Amino acid sequence: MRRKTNAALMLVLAFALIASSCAGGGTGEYDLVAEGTLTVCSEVPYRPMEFEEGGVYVGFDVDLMQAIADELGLEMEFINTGFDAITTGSAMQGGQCDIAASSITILPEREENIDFSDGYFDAEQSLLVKKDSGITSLSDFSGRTLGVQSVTTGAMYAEENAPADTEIVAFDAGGDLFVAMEAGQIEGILQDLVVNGDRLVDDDTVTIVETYPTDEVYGLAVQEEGKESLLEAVNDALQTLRDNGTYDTIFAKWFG
Amino acid sequence: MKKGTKQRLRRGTLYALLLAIVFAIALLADWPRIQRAFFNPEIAVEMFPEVFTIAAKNTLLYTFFSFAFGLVLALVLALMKRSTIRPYRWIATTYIELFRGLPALVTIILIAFGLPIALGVSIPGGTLGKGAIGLGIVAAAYMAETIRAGIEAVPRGQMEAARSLGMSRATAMAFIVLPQAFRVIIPPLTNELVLLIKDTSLFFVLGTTVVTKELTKFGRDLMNTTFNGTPLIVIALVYLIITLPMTRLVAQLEKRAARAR
Repeated sequence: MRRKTNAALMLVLAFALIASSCAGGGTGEYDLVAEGTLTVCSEVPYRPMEFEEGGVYVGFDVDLMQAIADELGLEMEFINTGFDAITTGSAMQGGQCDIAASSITILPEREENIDFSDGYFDAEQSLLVKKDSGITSLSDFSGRTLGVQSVTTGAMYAEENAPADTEIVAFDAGGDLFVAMEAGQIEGILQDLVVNGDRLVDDDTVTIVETYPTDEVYGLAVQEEGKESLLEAVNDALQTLRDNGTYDTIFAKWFG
Repeated sequence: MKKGTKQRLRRGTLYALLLAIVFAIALLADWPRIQRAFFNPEIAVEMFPEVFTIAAKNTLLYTFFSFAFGLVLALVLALMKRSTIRPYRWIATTYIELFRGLPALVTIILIAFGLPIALGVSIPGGTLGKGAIGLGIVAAAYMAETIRAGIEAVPRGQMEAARSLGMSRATAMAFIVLPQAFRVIIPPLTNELVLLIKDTSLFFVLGTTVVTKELTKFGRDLMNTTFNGTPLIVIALVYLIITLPMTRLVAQLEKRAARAR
């Protein structure tokens, strides 16, 4: 009766598969997706917060997460996912990573699906245009095209404050914005100051004409339930890094 | 064991396995949670009428122009591929191999961002113009091979008979051969049209305004603001409303073509 054994085995396997996919697995103190490693999701590139250089991910968020992982006695792995997978929490819920570090502004509506750490970075919005465009403020965008990244605080700011007849064009990836401006698809970019500011270093034909303080801060994000111990440990680590000067060292490295 | 018994046993276990899996899923799944996450009626209602008046309309518009541009280009390529002048054949072959080998997304980005940055050439017509040309270029590569096969399926005698009646090669091709070729290739071309409907979801890369979103981007943006999977289910249904009649039509046409032969 070899066949019957096979079928029984398959049944057991099928059950095991379903059971494991439902339970989610996870081991150790913080219930990590990979034991001994803090797996971090991020939407790359978003210079200088997270981007790729020489085949590895670098940036402010990368250094900060490495320092946090060191504090917790863990390895750190940085992986690239979509920004929407992070803000909806599906990247963490689906077991891709433990925590997201992706210049995520802490917003009440986002807290429905993810839990934020303490804020670790002040976010300001800014308006980047071509120097020769003659544009000096957001109100000049009447009848012009303005680029934003989909479902970001920059996009929300633009929708609320740009003239009514501004054509607001939303792109999925922040990195596409500079390309689209170079290609003449958009005449300005409204997004986080750190990223627009970094562009000035590489491109001397653009300038930042306005900045908008929005009282917003970036936070690290974990899934809504089940990661409380990790979140607590991360918040403690953040505080330690601020106290012992490591945070300032990392900040100075990227923003001099 | 007898062959019949063996077979019955195997069928029996396969049925049991299927039942076990269905039961396991039904028991283990968190139904109320799935309902909250994917079937929230309030969110679904909010999507109307925009899901039709903006999103589905744009998907169809993008598909139509991509297909129209692709079909014209494909016809030219198919004729070039059958040309007696060698360089024409080389160009057509290179084109077809190139754009069948590239992801459609790469081609669309090349057209929309690559051309303006590298050459200062900007294709007019916004998302529709850039996207339809990018996607049409890819579709043309596939459809050219289909059209060529269709032309070759028309018996040589048709062309010879038309020529003997005093028609020029071009007239005979246009009025005798191509109409018969198209009858053969309508099912595969309709298939290509269905593929294009889905490929218009790539247009998100061009950037979207409130009025240029197609179905996928429309659904994704709503998912990101409502933090709920319901918008994806709604757009999935709208896609099926569009594609299912077409795939059924292809099946019908194929049946008819098989009978006619």
